[in-house]
Amino acid sequence: MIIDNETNSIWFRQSWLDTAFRCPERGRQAIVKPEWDEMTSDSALIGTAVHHGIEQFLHGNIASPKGIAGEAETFLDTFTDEIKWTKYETQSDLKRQADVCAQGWVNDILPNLPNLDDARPEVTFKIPLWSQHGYTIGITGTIDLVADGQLWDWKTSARAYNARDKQKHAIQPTIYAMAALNSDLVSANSFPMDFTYGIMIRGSKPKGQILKVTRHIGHADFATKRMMQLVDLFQFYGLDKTWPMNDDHFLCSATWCPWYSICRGAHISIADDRVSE
Amino acid sequence: MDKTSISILTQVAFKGAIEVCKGNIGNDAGNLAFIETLHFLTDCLMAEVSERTGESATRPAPASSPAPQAQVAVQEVFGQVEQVNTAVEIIPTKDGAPFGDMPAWLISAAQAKGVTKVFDNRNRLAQSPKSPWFKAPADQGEHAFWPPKGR
Repeated sequence: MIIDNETNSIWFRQSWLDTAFRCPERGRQAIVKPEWDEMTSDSALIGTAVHHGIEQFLHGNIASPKGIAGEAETFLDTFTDEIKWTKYETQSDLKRQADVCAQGWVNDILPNLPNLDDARPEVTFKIPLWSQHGYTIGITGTIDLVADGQLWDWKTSARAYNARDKQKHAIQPTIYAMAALNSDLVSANSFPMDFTYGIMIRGSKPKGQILKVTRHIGHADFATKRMMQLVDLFQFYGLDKTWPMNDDHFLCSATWCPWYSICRGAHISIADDRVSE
Repeated sequence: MDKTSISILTQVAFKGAIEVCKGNIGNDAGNLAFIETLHFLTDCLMAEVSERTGESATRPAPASSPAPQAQVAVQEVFGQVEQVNTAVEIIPTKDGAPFGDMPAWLISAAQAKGVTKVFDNRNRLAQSPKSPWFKAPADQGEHAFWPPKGR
């Protein structure tokens, strides 16, 4: 959620919405204490490096998709910021996983992409949708690939995506479909609209997964309603008061939430959560 | 006073007027109060600057309502994507519309038809319950909008 007081506008990013829909308080903390969440995790860095490699290929900066892994490794070599180690231990581990992901993309995803002649990689959008409390409310983000009227996004993941879960819950396809509805991104800009994940699965062997989800107008309605609720929260609660908290999810933990210690963790210790004998 | 300075002063006055009138903008009385406040604050700021600098100042043409001005600023920062629709608005009428908050379902429904402005008919539903809740003006195709039935 980006609050722009210069233009009286509020912009939602899908990643922030994904967070705030799950736990509004975590969304608020990401606005008021962003410095607590500056450190990239090892898994996220692998994803960023592979994204970079794919982007170089799609932009034509490298001739062959075989060069994607090398681009990702170079990216990792030049990344000097401290990272949060969660699953891996060494820089070699990161490079190995980046290679596996890049190979998975080349083997299993690239052959299934639409015609890339007029492909548009890394498409940035910023689209106003309605007015509320004197603010113009809109969505903003970057789509990994728009090609032949299709919306694609690359993911790296420890495991394959569950189709039913993504079809029902994923917010990214909804926001991108709303962006496409209001722009020149796709020619048939009407619902229902498809969105495709190209997922590279980390592990010992290269493996890619293609998962298509479909967005109907009802998904857009519901996402809009929830965005309106967040604007109301901002308007009537402000950013100084605590927003509603939701600890009913594994992401509500010291490992996965940078603000856990001043939220649930300030009340409940690890011992309190232990199952009694 | 140059255009940039006038622009800055107007923005400051605009924000001040929004702050003073927020919650009331959207109906005729609220819009009028906003415009009067905007003029008053702009005049005060211009007079103060003129007094201090000795420069003469001319007030720029007033904005008709806050939303279009905000949208112009927003559209200037667009990057790669060419926008087709813009934010959906309920057209203020002399009856005092809007008659309630803008429902979420209206936004995608309107944008799917390329509609950005609608008349609010919700005040007439008691007399004619089958009437559309919202209707686009003639220049936007006179599309009619009802709330979605359970999907």
